[in-house]
Amino acid sequence: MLREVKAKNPRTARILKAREPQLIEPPKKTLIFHGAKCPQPLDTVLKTFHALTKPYNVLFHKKNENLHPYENSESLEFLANKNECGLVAFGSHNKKRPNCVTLARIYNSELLDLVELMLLPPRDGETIPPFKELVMDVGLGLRPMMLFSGSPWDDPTSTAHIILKSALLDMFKGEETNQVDVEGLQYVMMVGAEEPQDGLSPVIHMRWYRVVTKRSGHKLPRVELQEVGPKFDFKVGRTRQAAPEVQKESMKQGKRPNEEARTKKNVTMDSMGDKIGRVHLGKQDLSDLQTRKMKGLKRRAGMESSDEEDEPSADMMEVDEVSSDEEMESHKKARKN
Amino acid sequence: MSDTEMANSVPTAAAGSKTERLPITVSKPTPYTFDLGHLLVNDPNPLELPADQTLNDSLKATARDGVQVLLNQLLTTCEIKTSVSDGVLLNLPAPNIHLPRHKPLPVPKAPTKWELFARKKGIGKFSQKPGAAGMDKERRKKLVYDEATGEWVPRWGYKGKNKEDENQWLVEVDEKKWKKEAEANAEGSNVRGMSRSERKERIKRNERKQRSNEKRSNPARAK
Repeated sequence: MLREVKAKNPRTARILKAREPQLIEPPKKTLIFHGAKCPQPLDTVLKTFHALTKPYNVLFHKKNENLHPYENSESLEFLANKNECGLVAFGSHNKKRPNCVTLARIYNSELLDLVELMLLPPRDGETIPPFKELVMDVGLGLRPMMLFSGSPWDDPTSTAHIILKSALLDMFKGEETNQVDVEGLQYVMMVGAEEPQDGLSPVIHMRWYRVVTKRSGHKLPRVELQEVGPKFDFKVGRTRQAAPEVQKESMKQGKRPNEEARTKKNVTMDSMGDKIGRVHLGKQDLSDLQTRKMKGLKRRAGMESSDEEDEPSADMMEVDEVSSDEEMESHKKARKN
Repeated sequence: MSDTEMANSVPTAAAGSKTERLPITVSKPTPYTFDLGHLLVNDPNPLELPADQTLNDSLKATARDGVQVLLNQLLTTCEIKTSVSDGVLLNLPAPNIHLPRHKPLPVPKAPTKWELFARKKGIGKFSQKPGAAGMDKERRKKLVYDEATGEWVPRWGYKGKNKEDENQWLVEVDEKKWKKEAEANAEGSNVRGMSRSERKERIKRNERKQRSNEKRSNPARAK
């Protein structure tokens, strides 16, 4: 754990404030570094990750001895927290696990999940070139399109693929925006997972392509791809999932301001997209309801026209009162009976 | 997807016409799934890696189909905004895949002892009276109108309005202050410095309260 720092001046206070937990988090930074040995293919992998996660990354050039993320996560956590990184890509190379990249994620300054990727030698007799010889003209901060291909990605029992998909998406997605320029849809990252075979660890292929659109004669363009950058084939090694309660805690999202305008009460939309309003009327007053008029109930047959002319309002009022009183009395009687 | 079938049949039918139409649709046994907020497409079909093709070529073919479908989906379902200054923009929906946070959700600041009391009694911003909350907000603003000069001056701080009484040439000593003046004189100080010393006292008191609030809300941090 890093010690609690108290700000001594406004500048550090601002820096510390920016480090506090935020409701809407900026993209996670990736810490990229390597262990005691870093052969050239592994270096290419790390440098490629560095190039594609710009500007949200921190790259270390010096070697780091005695770092074993699976055995002891302390120094990994320390380095990540010191550099404000939520993701770690650690390259290591030894006899048992040659050219190994460990992807780790941090939540609440502790390790969340881990997955190990072992670089395989290219199949078609090619070699992985040094990073300098690669051409990948990707603009800074461009959001890539991503393609996850293969059935294992949808397999809920394969933890390696679940963690890997989430981690890779987290790492390469860049800044989340609600709008994207069509011009900016320039390159695509493909992660293909081979069909699982019994007894063998899963294999994934990472490729990058530049998107070239052609006139197709239709409204939509025809897509062609150009291979750019390196071609990596990885074998998935050890994985470590987050504890369920920590995972649940880390997935909590606060209520965002203005995300959804507060829904008006009693106004809904039905499945057809029509607006439906529900109106609540007060209790209807039935006391002065006009019921059916009958000749036999008229007050004074024959005389009413002259009488009403003389004193219409007063007479009616009296009659009304009498009638309502009578009603009440009759109700009372009915209840008593 | 009646559109798909139509478009598929078009290239063969219109091959003889002046411009050859390139196919823009893809049909796969399992449909693609999208997360347009992340510009992501899932191809749940098993990877086809035939032996007569190199690995790179077969991956590229799969990728082409996937990207074609993603672009089709983006350009057909997302609202397109065209403007001269910004170019063509696509409005993306919110992402579906949720990713874990880096740090826990921020916890709201604990109410101070005064805020608790004010809420109980309905004072200041907790007042139910119409306009009282607005008055309280106004009272805490940095600038205040100076009636004498007709200018907006800071309420506190450098050249603050709360220091107005401190350099007046005449200090009123009313009945209430008689006793205080006598005490000040006994200590050897003056009634003139009293306004300033009182202000300093208030600042110190406020700092004490701040510390105790901090201690109450977060016992581990306040040391």
